[in-house]
Amino acid sequence: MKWSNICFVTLGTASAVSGWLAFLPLPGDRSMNASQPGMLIHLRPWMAVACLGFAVALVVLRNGRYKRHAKPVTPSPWDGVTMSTMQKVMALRDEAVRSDKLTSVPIFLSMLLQPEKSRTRTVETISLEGRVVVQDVRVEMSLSALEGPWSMGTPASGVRGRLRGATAGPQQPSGEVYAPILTCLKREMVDNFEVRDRDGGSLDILCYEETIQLISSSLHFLIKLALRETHGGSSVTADRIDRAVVSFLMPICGRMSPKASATAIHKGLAYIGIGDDDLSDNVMWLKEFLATLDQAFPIVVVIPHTMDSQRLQISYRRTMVPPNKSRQARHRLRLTLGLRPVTMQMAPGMAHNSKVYHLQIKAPESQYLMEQTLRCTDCGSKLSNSEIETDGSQTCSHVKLSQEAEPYFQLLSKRGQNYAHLYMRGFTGMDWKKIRFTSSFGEVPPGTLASAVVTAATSLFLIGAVALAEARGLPRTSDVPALLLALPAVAASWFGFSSDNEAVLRSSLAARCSLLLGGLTSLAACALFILTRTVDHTQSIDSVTLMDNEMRWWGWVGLAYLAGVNFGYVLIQLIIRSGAYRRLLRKESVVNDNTVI
Amino acid sequence: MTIRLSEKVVPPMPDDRPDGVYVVEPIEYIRSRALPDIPTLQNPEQVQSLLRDTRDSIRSCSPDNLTRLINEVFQDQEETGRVHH
Repeated sequence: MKWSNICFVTLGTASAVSGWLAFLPLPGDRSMNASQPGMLIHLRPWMAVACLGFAVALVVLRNGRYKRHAKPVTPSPWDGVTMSTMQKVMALRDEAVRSDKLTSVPIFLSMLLQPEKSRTRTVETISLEGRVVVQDVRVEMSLSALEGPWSMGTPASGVRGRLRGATAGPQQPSGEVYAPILTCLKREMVDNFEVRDRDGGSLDILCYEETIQLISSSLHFLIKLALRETHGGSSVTADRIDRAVVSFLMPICGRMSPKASATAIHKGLAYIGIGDDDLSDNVMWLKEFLATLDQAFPIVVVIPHTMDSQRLQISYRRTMVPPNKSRQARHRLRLTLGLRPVTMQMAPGMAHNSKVYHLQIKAPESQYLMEQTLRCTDCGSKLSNSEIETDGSQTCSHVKLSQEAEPYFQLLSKRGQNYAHLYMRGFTGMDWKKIRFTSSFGEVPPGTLASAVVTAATSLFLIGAVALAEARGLPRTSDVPALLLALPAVAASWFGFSSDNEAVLRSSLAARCSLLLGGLTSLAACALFILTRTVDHTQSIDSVTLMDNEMRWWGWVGLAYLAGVNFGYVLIQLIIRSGAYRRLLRKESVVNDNTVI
Repeated sequence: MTIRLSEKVVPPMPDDRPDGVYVVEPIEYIRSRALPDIPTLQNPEQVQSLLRDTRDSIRSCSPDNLTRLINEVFQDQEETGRVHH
């Protein structure tokens, strides 16, 4: 048996024994009390304290054990990077040359580093209808939009013919094109991933080894490209290039810490004589390639030579439970009452990778859209179409700078629907991290608030009636009032905590607080009624009076006051929210005039 | 036309991940700025030349030499005390 288990058993036994000594009668207690004088030091209070202390120690130790076991394992800064791994990876680079994958490198790089050129439309749907958040993404791509000698050309020429520049070489390619259609962050997982062409046919996806072939050969290609532009690049030997490739591939293939990864990339650049301050276009492509694959890994689809359609459609789904920070007392109260956040915040980052972007956030049918904003995260300002991008000054004033790219967005007006819809266009050249879309949802009235109003009204009516009867000294002939007083508490537990259990959004804080207060008030009134029933002077004389008449009177007044405040508060909430919801339903314009609500 | 931000006071957003809010980030790596086009990659002859150079360079490296280079890179990293293999 482990020492921790022995400790738990000992503490539990000690707590049970001290609890027995503190609260339960010992054999011979009655005879001792009758025959002996009172003890100077009473043992029972000390046993109660000891029992409590042992119990607290047991809980603290047990909780500490769980916390220790739940601590995540910190990986090595160079996890997964070994010499044998790198030998295999470099062998895969040679394999890429023997196959025809090298010819696809230019189009691979273009789609990886400039995805906005091939993506025509992205539709992202966030569903909050279940117990978890589900993110569905559909991306439409047009490969004909790519420019360059390696572009896809016209449909009639076929894929083989479209690789005009890339197909030239000593080895005859098979005509397949390898297109990175999605660059997933390494810590994320994708499920239900599907890639389809315009006709609905499914397309193949490269496996890990084949993708590494493309990546390693692309790295070599990019180094050659960068060295053409750098001073003294032609004097870099093949050995130094290979060293740089090995160093660059370490963070791509392994799970390295950010610091170790940055060191490996820095050393790789040093092997080929490229400094941190070299910002020419060719070098920027190499650095951006490294930065991208340090954090993400591409999913590469195979476009066969038989495919004439130049349009693809990819779709994937992610299921998640987002972290829910709650440091403020209000949010802690919400969690304690079984509620969840009602606000969803998103960075519409995919608008910067696509010509057109749609974002839809769907709540359950029982919710409606209360608020939606597009804001700058630096200053918190709401954005409008004329004030989208910051001008680079420290004051964070928002202006529309570029006349060529016309960033435009539109929000669907609030009309009582259970979803938010954001449309964005022309955001491909902008700083994406500065924009956040926030949408808040509320329960469609009457909902749980109506239940709370009914419960509060019942509680107020019953407490008022019984209090009035007590004040007038009406004789008690049955126990029915006690049962009636407990009725709102039963209703509160029935209505309040059985709602919204299946949704990730739970928004009835006011209703739950009202139901809780109403239930507690009713239980207190029931207890007051039972405990004060013996003050009736017609009852037997040996019964104990637990409260005198004055305390009993103030007790009923206090309970009636609480029930009245509770009823008034929840009624006002219901009226306000119902009015706001009705005003939304009466709105006529579908689209906002100023695009911001 | 340049329009400045209005003077209307709006409540600030204090944090990227505020309390009581679900925050959903894109699954995809998003580049902060779009990359410029490279003229070299627009020229078919230069693209072919680059591909040829790349192919020749990769083929010129023998397996034994590659093993030696990988060993040297790891030794170089070990000197800084960061490699654990």
